[in-house]
Amino acid sequence: MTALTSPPREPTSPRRAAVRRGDRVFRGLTLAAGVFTLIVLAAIAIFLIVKALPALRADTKGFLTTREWLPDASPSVFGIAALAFGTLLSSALALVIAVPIAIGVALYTTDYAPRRIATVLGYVTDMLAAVPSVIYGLWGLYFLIPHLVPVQSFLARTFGWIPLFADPDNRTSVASRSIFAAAVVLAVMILPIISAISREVLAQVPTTSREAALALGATRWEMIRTAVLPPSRPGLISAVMLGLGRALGETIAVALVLAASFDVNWRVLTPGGNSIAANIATKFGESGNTGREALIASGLVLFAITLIVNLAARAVIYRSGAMERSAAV
Amino acid sequence: MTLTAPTPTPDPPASGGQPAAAHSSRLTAAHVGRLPMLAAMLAAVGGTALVFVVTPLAGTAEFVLVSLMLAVVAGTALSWRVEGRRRAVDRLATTAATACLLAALTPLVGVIGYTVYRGAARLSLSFLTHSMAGVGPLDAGGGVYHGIIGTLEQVLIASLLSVPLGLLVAIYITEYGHGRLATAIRFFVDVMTGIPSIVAGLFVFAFWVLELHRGFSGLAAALSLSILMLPVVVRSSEEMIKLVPGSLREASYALGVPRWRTILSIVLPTASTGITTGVMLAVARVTGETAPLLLTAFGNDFLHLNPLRGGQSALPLLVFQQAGSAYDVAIARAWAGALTLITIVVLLYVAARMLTRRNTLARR
Amino acid sequence: MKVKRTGGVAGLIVVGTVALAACGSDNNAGTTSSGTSGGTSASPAAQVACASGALTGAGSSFQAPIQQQWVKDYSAKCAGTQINYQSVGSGAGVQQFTSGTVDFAGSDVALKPDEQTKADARCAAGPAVHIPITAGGVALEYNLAGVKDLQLSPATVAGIFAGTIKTWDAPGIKADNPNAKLPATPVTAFHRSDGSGTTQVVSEFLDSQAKGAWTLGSGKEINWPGGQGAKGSEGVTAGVKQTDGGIAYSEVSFAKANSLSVAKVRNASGQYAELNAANVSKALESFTVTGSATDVKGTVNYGVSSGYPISTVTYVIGCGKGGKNTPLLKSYLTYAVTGGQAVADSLGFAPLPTAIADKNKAAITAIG
Repeated sequence: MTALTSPPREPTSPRRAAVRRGDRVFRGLTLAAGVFTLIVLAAIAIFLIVKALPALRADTKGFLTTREWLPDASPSVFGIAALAFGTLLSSALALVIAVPIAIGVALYTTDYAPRRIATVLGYVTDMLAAVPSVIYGLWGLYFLIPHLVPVQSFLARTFGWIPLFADPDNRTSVASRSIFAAAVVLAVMILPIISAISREVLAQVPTTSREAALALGATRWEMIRTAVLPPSRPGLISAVMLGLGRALGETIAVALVLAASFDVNWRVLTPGGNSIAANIATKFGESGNTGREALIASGLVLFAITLIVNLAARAVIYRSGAMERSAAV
Repeated sequence: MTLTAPTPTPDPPASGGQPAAAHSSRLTAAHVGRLPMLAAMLAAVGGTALVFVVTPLAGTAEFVLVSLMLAVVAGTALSWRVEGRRRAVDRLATTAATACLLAALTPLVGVIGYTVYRGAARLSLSFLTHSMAGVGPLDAGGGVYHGIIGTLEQVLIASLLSVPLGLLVAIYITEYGHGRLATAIRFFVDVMTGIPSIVAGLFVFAFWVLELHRGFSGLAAALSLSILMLPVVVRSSEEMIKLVPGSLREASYALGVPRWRTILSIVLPTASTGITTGVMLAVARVTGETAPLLLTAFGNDFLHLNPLRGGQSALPLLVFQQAGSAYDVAIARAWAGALTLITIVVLLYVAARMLTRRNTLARR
Repeated sequence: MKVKRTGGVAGLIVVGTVALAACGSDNNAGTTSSGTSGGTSASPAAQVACASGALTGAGSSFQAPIQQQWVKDYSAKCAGTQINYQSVGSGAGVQQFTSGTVDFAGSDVALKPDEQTKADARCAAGPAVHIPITAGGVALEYNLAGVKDLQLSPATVAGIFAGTIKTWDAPGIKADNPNAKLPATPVTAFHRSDGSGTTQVVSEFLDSQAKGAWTLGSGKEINWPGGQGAKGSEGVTAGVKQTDGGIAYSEVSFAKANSLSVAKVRNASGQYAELNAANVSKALESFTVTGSATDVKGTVNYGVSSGYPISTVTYVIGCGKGGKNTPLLKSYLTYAVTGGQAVADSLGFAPLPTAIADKNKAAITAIG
């Protein structure tokens, strides 16, 4: 793709100077906007660091390894280990559930459904992205949690031999406030986002590419695999990253669903688990000074996690040979 | 079943080469008729019954699931034998895409259906046109009028701040930026998507409300919301702008149109449907945010029109607070408020869609 | 053009907003008449010296319902006042009070020394003072098929929430309920996953009354070894409702609204006391004021020989001197601690014992 076509050489004309000026002004404007964004982000980062430092100094155990959260106690004890673990595990699980389905839906709308149905489906997915997170949280609390008990119990019985689904104390028979439950809510929340952006990305693949593949005798799936997916890959990864960003930072819905324990628990079906954002939302109201600063420190960690995850995604885009699309990657 | 459904109509070229696809699936439908597929389904159900007899599996939902899986396996195997590997894989892909659609729509429609079910009874004109002023905890009256006004004001201000800014950033990244700075901006915008909403609220609270002594206000809420909106707007607009074919730009350049005019009148309109989707996603994300509002908008039981000064209510805040109450009257208000919130976002969405549609330059 | 389009959407929203503004109203006189359960007009005798203006408060979610009721009743008596209390949590309320963004804070616990210093600094001319504004008990709500009159001793409660008592027919529970038919259902204890004044009250009660059985300390947050966390009283209550064998601590209003049974709790004299307004008021007669004549902060005694032992007071914290909107604050607080106490029972709170009420009146008069 040639997204960055170089501008034409202007023919010598009296308007040339004015054109140049217009371009310079506009370019300056966009540059200023970009720099302003960086300044805002830097301000947030500095703010987080400045506010987090006192709490980190007051912490009497290792911040990165401790699995407790009692910052307002004396001595102050808190650590990010369990929170970061829960955040990553629930978000990863949510992606595992949501990404294939979301891209499947996007493909269905662009390449399978008749045009009229596709338009309607597009509207419906977009509108579903419009459901506010507090509503997903309430739905999770009052509807999903009780209805998930038999499902989780089934998973534990059938796939219990996989360590991830193990349930040695048979706790899934009565309770379902697990990382898995949170991941399901998160998946439902990020599905429309990923699917809406993927759809736009897939729809932009030129019709000619599709027709060329079919003309060569490809089946529809082969056409998708060879002509549609490869040029869309960076865009799809972007869509996934936006979804991941929301999953990582989601507060209220996760807070309402998780059983909020402070341990590193790989058994995703058993009650427990916690996430950084949910912990900030639940603990903030009743925190004292150190507590508030400790929560800000955890926000800083979430920030760092997003940074690392994005770096990793960038590496994936590099690896997948999508470099030709843009010099700006 | 979708396994055998041929694509019914030849499509307009926009949805991508489907005439040929339709043709091919008509061919395959001739190879494997409806009957063998139906037989495969029946065999799958029978097989599942057998499996359930000899294993500890139980339950209706599980039965349906296992049957469906077996049916897909059987159908694919049949097609493989009759039509060969390539057709079988194609059929499997079609089934998978359809299954994805169902898997996605079920919970999503469930969420909305549940909200309508819980909220419709309490929703009324009086609910939409009254505030919570002077409503006691046990009173059934009151409404979300003040929250609707607050949310509209806050989201409008947040959009006015973040959409133009976000578009400019996206244009810089895609059209102008080549060097390290563009890479840095792009990367950090990605990082920005991971800012938890409450941290954005905290930042505005510390900086705007406390440091600059501006106090709680709808504007403070809008500021925190725009921090959350900005990366979504930038990221999605960027993707859409990048997908505008180079040939369009080249054609414009060839006509002597300056670059900035090309961007504004060719690139942006071409990408406008996608950009609108992105903006709406951003609006949708922030309209339901509760956590930052607690620290910035503060909330108010009374109607407060001025967004620049004084605590203001907002719909998600109201929903959250009412849902946290012990009393049925408040829970009912919460669900009705949630329904109102969804309706408002959907209305905004439809309005934006209609406006972009009418003006879209290139619905090629 | 893009600009035109955005302008169009913006214009649409502005027009819509204006149209809405024209048809809505702040007047709920007609719509609230269906509030049936009593209390709303239960204080005809109280004479209120009205003040005017606007007042902002924030904090404890525990006292939010009664604040909401008082705001309604007070503004019905004193037209033209706007009192805005937002339930954001005690800690956040105290912080907002300290930073001067609200006129008073609602808090389930007294200020710590460092918080007191900061709050005093905010009130330029005088210290920040505590007024215990109402009393309430913490309910142990449960959902256990076939068991209606559960009785629990402090040690049993400790065992349930610490995770050492795992089934409902465990010896500890049997000993407390010699006549009940207890099933072998597993115990699922729900605790608050958010920081909470309720958690602090329960843990302080267990810390002082179940020595030996309770080793988890006390505070708004506890390092729970087991059980399930849930956010807010609504979360734990939903958990109990959804789980046979579930038990949680919460405000009594949640148990009532969801028709959950509430356990009787054994006090220091060995009686199993029911949670009701009278028993809470009785328990709080042993509340000891540790502040001064103008600052009514104190400590709750959980080892009461009569009354419901898990009882506490919740405070309003305001400026003793130098605050803003002082006349309205004084007038509102005076109403709350006198006539306003009459609505306490209907909302699951308990009227303050006379001893505290008298100290309150003196302290409020001294504000200025």
